[in-house]
Amino acid sequence: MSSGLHLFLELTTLLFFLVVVAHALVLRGRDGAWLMGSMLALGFVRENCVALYHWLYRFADLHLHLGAAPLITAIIWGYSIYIAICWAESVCGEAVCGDSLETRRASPRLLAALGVFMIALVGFYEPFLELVDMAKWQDGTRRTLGVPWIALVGYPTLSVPFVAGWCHIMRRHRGRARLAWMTVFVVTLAFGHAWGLQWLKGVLGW
Amino acid sequence: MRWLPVALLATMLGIALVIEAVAYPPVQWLPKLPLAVLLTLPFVLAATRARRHAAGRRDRAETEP
Repeated sequence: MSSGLHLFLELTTLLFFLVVVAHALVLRGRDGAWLMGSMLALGFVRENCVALYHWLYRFADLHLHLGAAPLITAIIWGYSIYIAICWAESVCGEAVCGDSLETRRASPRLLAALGVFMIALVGFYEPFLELVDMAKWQDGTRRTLGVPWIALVGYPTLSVPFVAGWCHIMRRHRGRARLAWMTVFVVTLAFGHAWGLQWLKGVLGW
Repeated sequence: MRWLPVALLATMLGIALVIEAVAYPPVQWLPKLPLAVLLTLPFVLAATRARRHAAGRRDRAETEP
């Protein structure tokens, strides 16, 4: 049953991700394309680092792959962060980008809301992924109610700096300079986050 | 339309709850509770704003000569 369930979850997540991409393109235009493209790259680099260097957790043998990591893990970051942005925008009454392009700003209030939402998301994703055997954290990982402590740090520390940095680059740069800065930023953040979280996990003994 | 992604995540949470209830009972409610509460927040706030708008319009209509 596990393999069939895995395929169902992979395809459902892919479908939902495509709907979210369409939402970003329709509502935010080119900014939406930049946002989703950057987040897909972020997820791809980060999860491939985790898979290649054997950091943090190991993946089940899933059906769809993007590089060395399962596709679902690469797209889930973009999917989750985009939903967190939409949620924070509606709660704070602000827009990160889209309706008025000159905004492209993320206020401290919006970033705080985003972080809180991502922390709440840990309680849904992590125990469920462990339960259906899609991801398994390293032996000895400390957790409460199936929630790894380190994930409570990991989710907001990837999403909040990403959104703040993304807004900064989109506001400051145009054309090829924007692409270059965005590439450097995304790759550095993705690699640095995976490495940093593994390091922190070791230091804290979590 | 703006709320579609939030509604999608709520659907995903519902699917996970059904899978957990059927294949891996009992359902672990507690870790999911914070997210479930946060997901309702935009809808609650929108309803509150709409009620406040309607009350404002009613007040203005009553005070206008």
